[in-house]
Amino acid sequence: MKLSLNWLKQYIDHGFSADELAFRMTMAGLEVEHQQVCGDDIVFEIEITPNRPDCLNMLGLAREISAITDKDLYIPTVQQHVDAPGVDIVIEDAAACRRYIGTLIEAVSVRAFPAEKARLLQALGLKPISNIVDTTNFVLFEFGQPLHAFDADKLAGGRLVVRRARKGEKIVTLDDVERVLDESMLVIADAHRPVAIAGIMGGRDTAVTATTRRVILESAYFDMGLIRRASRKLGLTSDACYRFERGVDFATVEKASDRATDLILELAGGKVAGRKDTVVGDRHALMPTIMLGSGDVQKLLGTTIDPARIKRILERLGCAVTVAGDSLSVVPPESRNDLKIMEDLVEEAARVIGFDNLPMTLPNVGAVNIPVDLENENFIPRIAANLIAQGFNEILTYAMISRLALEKAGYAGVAPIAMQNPMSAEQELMRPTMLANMLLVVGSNINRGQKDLRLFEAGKRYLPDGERWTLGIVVTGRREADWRKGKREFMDFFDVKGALEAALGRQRVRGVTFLAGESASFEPGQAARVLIDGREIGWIGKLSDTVLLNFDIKKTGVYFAEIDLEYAAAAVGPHAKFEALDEYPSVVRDVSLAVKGVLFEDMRTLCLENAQGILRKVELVEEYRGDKIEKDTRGLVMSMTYQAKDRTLTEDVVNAIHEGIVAKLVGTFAVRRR
Amino acid sequence: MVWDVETIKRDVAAQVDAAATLDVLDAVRVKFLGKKGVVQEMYAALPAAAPADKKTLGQQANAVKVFVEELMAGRKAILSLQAKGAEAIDVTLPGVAREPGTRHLINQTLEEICDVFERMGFVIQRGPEIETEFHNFTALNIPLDHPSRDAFDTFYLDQNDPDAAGRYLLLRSHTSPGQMRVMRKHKPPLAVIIPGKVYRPDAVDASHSFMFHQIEGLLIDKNVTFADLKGLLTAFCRKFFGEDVKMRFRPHFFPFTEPSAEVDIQSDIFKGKSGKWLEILGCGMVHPKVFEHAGYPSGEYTGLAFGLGVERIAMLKHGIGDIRTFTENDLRFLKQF
Repeated sequence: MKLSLNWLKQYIDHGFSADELAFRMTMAGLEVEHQQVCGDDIVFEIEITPNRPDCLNMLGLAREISAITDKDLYIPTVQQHVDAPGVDIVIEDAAACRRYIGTLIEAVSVRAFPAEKARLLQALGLKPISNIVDTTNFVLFEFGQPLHAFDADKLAGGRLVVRRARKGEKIVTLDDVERVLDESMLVIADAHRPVAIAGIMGGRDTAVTATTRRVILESAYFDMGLIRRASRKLGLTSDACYRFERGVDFATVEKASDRATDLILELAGGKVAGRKDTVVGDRHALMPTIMLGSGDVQKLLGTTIDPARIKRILERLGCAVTVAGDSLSVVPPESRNDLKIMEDLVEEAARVIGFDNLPMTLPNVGAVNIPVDLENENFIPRIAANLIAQGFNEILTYAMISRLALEKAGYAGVAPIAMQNPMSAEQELMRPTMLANMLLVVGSNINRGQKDLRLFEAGKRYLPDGERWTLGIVVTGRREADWRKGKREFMDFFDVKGALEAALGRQRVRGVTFLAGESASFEPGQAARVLIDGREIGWIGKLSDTVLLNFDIKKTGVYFAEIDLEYAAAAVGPHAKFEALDEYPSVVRDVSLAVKGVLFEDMRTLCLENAQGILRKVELVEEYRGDKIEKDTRGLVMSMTYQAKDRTLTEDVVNAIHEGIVAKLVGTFAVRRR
Repeated sequence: MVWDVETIKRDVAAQVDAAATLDVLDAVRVKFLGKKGVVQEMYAALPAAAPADKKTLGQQANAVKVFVEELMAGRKAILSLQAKGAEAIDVTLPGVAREPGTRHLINQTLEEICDVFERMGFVIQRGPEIETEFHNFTALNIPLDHPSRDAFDTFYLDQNDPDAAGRYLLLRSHTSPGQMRVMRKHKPPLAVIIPGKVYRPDAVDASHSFMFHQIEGLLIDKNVTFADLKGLLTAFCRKFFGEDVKMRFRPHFFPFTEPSAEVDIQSDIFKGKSGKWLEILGCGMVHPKVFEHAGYPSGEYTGLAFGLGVERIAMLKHGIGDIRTFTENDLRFLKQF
């Protein structure tokens, strides 16, 4: 909303400099976003919050300034016009139009608006058109009541009907655009056709022109919600519509009509040849009486304000205030629909005084009535911290994804949640996996020459049965640099697996296993389901070349894992119990095996089961695949650590058990010693 | 008679330094420390010495012995290295460590903000991102078809709202619906902060994104006042932005608080924004309508609420000019923080 300081002078002599006024208004809730010199005028651009339609005009702002500066307000005197026959107006939809005043003025001379007033309109960014049209705009900005002037001679049948539009009905509005209407919209029509979209914009064909002699001036009260919906549907807004959808003052409908009539008679001559004021229901809105008790201010603000001061502020704002014992009884003006309860009045007093002039205290935050499950609360941050310690960089990607990107990533799960009003195809779907989003990040980094990446994101996936906290991990390129080692090695499946196992293990997530599996996103034979106690919680593997090419990622392997963090958090085991440190020495025995079609994990389990409780760990030293071993066979070197809790193991005991285990492996699986 | 120790030492030093190989050095060792060496000779002379000289002579023999041994050891270390062909390490070569990763700056900022409030007794709560019409709007006193919704343009999903016939589930457009969930689940006293992602269909540019992060705060008790709100947020701003930060509480409008304010801050630490007031959060006293929707008895409690934008604070604090930097995830950016 623009405020012309020259225009303001007609209503108040505030005695402040522009800067001081801007500051005071800002600190009273009318934020002056900027000020601009406009000839001999200064114009403020003010942010008016949606609860304050009464400030969308000069008088409303002047009233605020009157309260802020404690100076008197001068309201222009308006001649009261009365109804007279001569205008035919029918309201068909009384719920949508509670009041309509039509005033017929004959023998007008359409001329230019007086220069002095035209400059005020120009300061607000309006283009002067003619004395009639400019009068409607002038009064709109003076009182906040939108008005419209029809050329009465262009109205078929000489009558106005306020009714719903018919489906498919058309009107060319003042901006020369043909609009197609429907039953949800309200129109002003003559005998044949709509001549204005109620509260939004008038029709071109019945507008006042240089040759107009008879005008019908409209001042009305339309339903806010209806105007707002119609405006949105039509994609059309206007100064009038902006005010109607926020709510205009019922009482001002008449005042503004009379003011505009006065101005037209003064500036364009002519005489009132008819007037019809139709009111549906009460002529005045019933404003609430709000009691402001002596303790209310203290209770809400933590301080007191002199009731006399509050009374004066509220009166300056147009309220009727009477003292009732140690309370104030307050009736707000009809223009202030936002004042309903005691708290609203306290805010009025507080903001006029200035929030910065009120005291402050530190709140007493006592025991909070909410059980805190720190372990659960910290689960995700700790997983993140662990991955960071392992050298991973956390990323943050959008929760949405395009259908195309999802297809490119090989997604084949349940149908994702779709957005009804996406702004672009990029936000079409809520992501059911992080893969596509993360690959976009991998791709853009590789394009910028950053080829060695270890990234993760802890965020949500969105599935039709709910949103789930999820961890995505992706690695590509080489392991960290170490100049002592020369050539750096490329990361692979086991880097992702290790990172995941370490992060989960450190948080005592129990029962995580990996089961080879196939999916459209991964290379065949290079992927696994991640399970906890048999329940699938995610996937891990080498992304297929097709998927990578779809994301323009070439000549590098990319490895990805995604797991459901909520299932993982539910599998956190009990607090670790202290285990006595080993007192007796351990003995290590290595064994080199040729293995065909057997999983390491199965062999490891068999070893532990056959070790009479003295095998502490089975570690993999090396896997060999290559020419030096038969086809479909690989070499595994395993290192077994034997240790007893209660004695030093002798060579003989260890050897006997170790050989027994090896024999068991050879006897059970397709395994032989190498 | 006593020994000319200084001369002996000079002699030893000259010969040790001159020893170019371990073999030569060993010959020097024999010459001085061997059975027929100089040191042995000094000890051998002791029994025959005059009683008055005995103490001095003994000390001299010991001193020479220690001197020779130390000199020999040092030279031997050098010659050994040379003999192995090894050189001294270049201690200025880079150290090797597994470089730790980084927390995303948005999450770092979010956690820092939460930390400040947690230390003041607030507990973290989280709410869903997919919300109902009721929690996101109705319960917060934001009616349908009202201009107060203009500030809350919203993404709707193709999922029916179980609470409202004919309406659809939506992506929360602010973290405030979390207030209602907490209030309906727990009774006061309450002191909670609710961090998380929020969504609004805004065209993406340097300062707008359709997804960003907010932190909601809520304190409800019998005697919470606007003075407490000012005190709490002032304490926060000073802890977070430094004691020198200037603040102002500017009246504003939110449908779910009354009175409502926005907080502007000014500080020299903000790159290029010195002397400018920068809006950083919205706040107010919980509106009685919100208590009503939460099912709290009328007039029993008062509460304060606030909401702040994490991206904006991170951008101000770290001098980041473009909000898109956060979601670009360029490794060079990630590693800076």
